[in-house]
Amino acid sequence: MTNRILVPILVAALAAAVGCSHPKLTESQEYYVGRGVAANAMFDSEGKYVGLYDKDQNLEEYVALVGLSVALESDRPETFKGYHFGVVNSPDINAFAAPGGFIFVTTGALKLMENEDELAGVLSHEIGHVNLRHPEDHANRAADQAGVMGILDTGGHLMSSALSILGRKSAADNLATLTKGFGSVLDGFTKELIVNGYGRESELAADALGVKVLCRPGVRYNPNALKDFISRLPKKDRGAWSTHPELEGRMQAIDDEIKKQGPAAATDSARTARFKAATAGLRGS
Amino acid sequence: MVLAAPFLTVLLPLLGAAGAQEEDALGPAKVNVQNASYNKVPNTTRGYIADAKIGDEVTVLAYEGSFAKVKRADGTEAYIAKSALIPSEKYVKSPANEKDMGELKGQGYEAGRFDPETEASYKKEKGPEMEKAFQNVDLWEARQAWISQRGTLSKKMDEFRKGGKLAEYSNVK
Repeated sequence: MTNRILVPILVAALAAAVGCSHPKLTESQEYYVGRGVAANAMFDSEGKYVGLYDKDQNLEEYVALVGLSVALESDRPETFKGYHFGVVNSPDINAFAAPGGFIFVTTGALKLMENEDELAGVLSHEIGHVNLRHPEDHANRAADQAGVMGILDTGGHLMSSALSILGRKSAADNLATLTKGFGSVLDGFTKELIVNGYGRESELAADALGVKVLCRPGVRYNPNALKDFISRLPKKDRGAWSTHPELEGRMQAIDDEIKKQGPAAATDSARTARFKAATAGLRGS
Repeated sequence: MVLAAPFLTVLLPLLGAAGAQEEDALGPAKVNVQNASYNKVPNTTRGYIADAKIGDEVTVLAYEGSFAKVKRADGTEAYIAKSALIPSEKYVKSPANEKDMGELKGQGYEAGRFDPETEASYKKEKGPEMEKAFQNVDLWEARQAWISQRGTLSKKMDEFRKGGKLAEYSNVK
């Protein structure tokens, strides 16, 4: 009887406190959400399993080396279990970043690229999102909307323990709630991320930071290659920049950022040669 | 009400701390990621000294860009990425760590987070196709385990930069 009164009061007070303090996922929780998004990214828009393009592991390692050349020189070189770079087996032209530093590029995008600097530009844009914590913010919002924030993070752990002590809620109930919340976060997140990206403002911020990192002394890729790739995107793959003036605006913003960085490196033939070698199997398939 | 008041007295400050903005504070900090390294210079792939372990205690002496200059437990100084650290008082034990998970369970931890247990339950609920997708994620992470071996990664990255005329090998200075 006492518990029937105490538990709702305690839960309400904790939930209010968590809400007031803007709880957020820990690094470890982000990692598990990232893994979940990665698993969900292996299904196409019709729900058919496509998986990663893992028949050419040299290509996957090459993409990771290009990505790491940028990520490890970025403002956030470390994530919970480090950056991971994957090639998604999809004809769609896309790249995206999930929480925890899981970064993907599709085989369709790789086929459209002409050199390593374009690949670095695209990955640097995605790393920009990770640096700016867009995936994490997105996951936090999704968790909030799914109504699971009250049982997450420090508060979640303590609340779970408190509820168990009071004998009201079993571990199985907690797990069922968490599983439902986890599923809601992943479903909402994956669909919106892959189809819409993080929104125009965040995309522009990721462009700017991406360019900045490409130009750092520890990197030195040609930042203009990002523009070259974007300009070649078919209209249907331009996301929020489907009209010509909108696309022009994005290109101008990238240009302005490049100018701020001083002398830019040119695309190097040695890099282009190794890009062609690494993607040869893909182009032949 | 008698029971709730002491609970709230203990819990509310902790919840506030968890949600507070992280600052670049000097002083005690802990390593908050599983793969990081201590380096002689503020860079993750240059001047490798040793792997940093999650939960390592350090003292932050200064910040240089994205890096912190720290004093390690053995008294030596090194650089580590700022994003690998968290102020000691904000460190939350990770269920992804077997050692921490044991301790958390000892404290009455029960499925309170997104963790391996929640993931396993989610996979079971979604069925074999999702199990397969997660297996693919596991294999992918295993294939990229070389990224966490920071000593060898430094050498590999240097060769890659050299071959592609990047960074110090670029003609743009």
